[in-house]
Amino acid sequence: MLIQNLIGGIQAGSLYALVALGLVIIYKATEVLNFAYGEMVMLGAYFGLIFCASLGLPLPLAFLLCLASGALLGVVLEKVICRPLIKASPMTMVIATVAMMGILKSLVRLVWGPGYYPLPIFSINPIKIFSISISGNTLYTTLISVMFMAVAFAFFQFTKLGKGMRATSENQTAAALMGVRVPWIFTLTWGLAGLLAAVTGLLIAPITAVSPDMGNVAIKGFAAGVMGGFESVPGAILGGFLLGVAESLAGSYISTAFKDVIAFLVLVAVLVIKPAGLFGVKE
Amino acid sequence: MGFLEIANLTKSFGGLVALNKVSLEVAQRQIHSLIGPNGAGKSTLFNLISRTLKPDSGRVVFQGRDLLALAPSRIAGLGIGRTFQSVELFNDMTLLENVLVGRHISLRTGPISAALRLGRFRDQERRGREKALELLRLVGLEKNQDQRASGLSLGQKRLLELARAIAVDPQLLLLDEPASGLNDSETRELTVLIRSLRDQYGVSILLVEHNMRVVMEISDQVSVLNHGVKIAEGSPEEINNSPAVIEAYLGSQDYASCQGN
Amino acid sequence: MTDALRLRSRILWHLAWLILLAGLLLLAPKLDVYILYVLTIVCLNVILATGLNLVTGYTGQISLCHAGFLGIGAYACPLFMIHCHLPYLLALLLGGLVAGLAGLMVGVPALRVRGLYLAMVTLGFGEIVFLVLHHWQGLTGGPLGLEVPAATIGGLVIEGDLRLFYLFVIAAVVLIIIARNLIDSKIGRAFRAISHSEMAAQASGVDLPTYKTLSFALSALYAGLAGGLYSQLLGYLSPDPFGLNESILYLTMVVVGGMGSVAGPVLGASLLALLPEFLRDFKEYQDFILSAVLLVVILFLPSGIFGLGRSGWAGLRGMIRERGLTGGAGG
Repeated sequence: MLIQNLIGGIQAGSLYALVALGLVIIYKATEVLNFAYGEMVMLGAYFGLIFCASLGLPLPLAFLLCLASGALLGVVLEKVICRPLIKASPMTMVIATVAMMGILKSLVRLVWGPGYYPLPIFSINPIKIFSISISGNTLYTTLISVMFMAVAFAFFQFTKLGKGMRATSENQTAAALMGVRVPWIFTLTWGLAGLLAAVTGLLIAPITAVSPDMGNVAIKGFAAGVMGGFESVPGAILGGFLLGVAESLAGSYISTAFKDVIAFLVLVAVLVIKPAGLFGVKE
Repeated sequence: MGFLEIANLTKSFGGLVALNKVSLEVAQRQIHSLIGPNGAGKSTLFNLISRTLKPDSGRVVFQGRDLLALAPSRIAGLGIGRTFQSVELFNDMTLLENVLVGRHISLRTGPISAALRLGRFRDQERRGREKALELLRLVGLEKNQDQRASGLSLGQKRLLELARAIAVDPQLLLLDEPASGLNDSETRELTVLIRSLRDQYGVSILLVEHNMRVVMEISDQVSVLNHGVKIAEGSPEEINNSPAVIEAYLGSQDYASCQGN
Repeated sequence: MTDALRLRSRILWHLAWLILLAGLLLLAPKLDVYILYVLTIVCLNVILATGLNLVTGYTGQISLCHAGFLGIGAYACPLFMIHCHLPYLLALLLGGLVAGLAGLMVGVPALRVRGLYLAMVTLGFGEIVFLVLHHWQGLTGGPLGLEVPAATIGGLVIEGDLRLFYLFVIAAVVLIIIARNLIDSKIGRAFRAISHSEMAAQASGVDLPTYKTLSFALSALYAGLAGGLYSQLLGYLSPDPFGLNESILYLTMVVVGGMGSVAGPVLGASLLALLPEFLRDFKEYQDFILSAVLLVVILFLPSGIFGLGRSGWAGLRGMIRERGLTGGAGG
């Protein structure tokens, strides 16, 4: 039973980690707390609806198109929100991204209605390891999200572009002086985050079905990001997994009520006690 | 026992040592200027005294009180006012309101009497406003009392900030580059004002300034900082002729440009 | 503006409000029940927005949890009536105080974190309140709801739209006046100083922890009082009206109406309560329009609609020209 809980927690955690990853890279590079990220994830799922379900395209092609759409959405949002807000106060920025959240959600409601749409992308039979059953969903979700995290990590560590993005997030002026084109980095970061968001949406959709309220998962991403300290990418990923497991265990051993609330308790507690995150190091 | 005693104050930022065991004394009714090339640590010193920053080591004692044991908002209550190099005004508030914030400590009202506009509140408000108007008159800004602070010229803004600093009924004023950006006539007004603060109101003034003419004209005592270390101290004449000082300034381009002011 | 002119415009302004108020009170018995209901909602929103404005508009702190404070007051008031047998007005006040205490608690982390992180703290807090209301079924009845006993004030039972309307209007007027009194005092000036420059505020003797937590506590108190009134209007409580979406709606009212002025929240609250009426035929578009308006306002009209009225077209042109996106409020 414990193992089953852990597996479930890791699956959920891998999704939280993906969300946290997208949030943190936007924050690190452009210093914007993107409250609309959940809606970007939601739109990823709706892109899946368009390309997979409505247009009936073959899965690999549809997948790529979804990612491309997500990236495009990220770029558009960067131009609309991030650019004008570079010098704005935190209040302005929060309100603007919150407004964007509402705009995206209501637009989706207008076009597709408030109902749920199924999106069963993965249909694999459950596999059994040591008499523990792992559903195809869990397997795919966890593997794909871990894969994307690994790719993202490699991107930041090893590629020139990735290093440029890291330099920008450390110190924009220094990066600019070293020849990094900062505005381009901003666009790239949001595009990348949009891509990640689309992936996340596609991974969540088979579990929760596609609906305009899917974006609420973002709050868990915030909690995960906070746990790792919003400045740290590995911290955010670790935080995501920890949160997923903690929720799963809390749900089984304490109560479902506690499972719902633990993410927010963690969020508030960490911010109050150690704002730099559980493993975060103040830069 | 000194009026303001700063002993062995040290502050580093990361690897950079901004102040290195700096000691300084300001006497009562004295205008004491702090000069030095850019980056010498002058504003850092101010920020340490007003508790905006915490020092790594050292002591700051004002009239026998250890300032380092106090929260930043308690400094004003001891009779220390300050202005900022970057002019930190409350831009959307009127001139009168800006100065009234300086009267914050002396206004004795609580939320209840404010909410219900009780007699005591009205009385305190009236007195506060009278005093604030008086201070605006002192700096020559009373005609604009209901104007927004954002609409002032830089010279007027510095004067307003000065009025707000005086509003805390200070015995010591920390003025951070009060003449920066002022034209000649404004600068003259300022020096007259600072002198009268010492002579008529008995206020001591610790002044950071780049304008050498002002410094030489009004200072009783001058201290020179360079690279976080005090390199000279004395009367304006002594400092003017000190080889160490001239060398420090020639090392950076500041001296020539300061002399020109 | 000369002294005489200034005095005269202030008198006219107050006179206008007085006439509006008198008109409302006198006309009320003749008004359609539905219109009374809408106006009652306006009063509710006005109280909440005025309180939120204290912490957001004046002190410059972000709050995404005010619907939570509303919920605390909305539940606390009838619970005091049911379990402690307290009369309505006392229960209302106590409910407000409980919410105020919650605001105090949120204010504490506000001292340690700022700006964006504070937004997240309030977000988390609001969600916690919502979930507690939802899950603590023994106390709140959870999603099944709580029945609210009818209020009696001085022997008079407050039921029916007309009496509720009078209750709300009187409460709103009193609370607006108190807010204005607070703003025009050393407390309000301390709030505004903090939002401009914490450094300069401290140098002038303003104690940051005291005033930051006070701003949260006061605004939560207002929301709690609004909640106690709201419970009477609803008659039957569920956690639904007290979630994140509602918190965002109240923030929208303050931003659109105009932060940092007394009339701004009144304007914003009125507009947003009346908007659903005008958009009755376009119900689906309501959310979209509200969010779009919020975005446009925060990008181009940081002082809200009321700020626009104050600085006029020249101000607007100037702002668009310099893309005045500094927001005005510090973090």
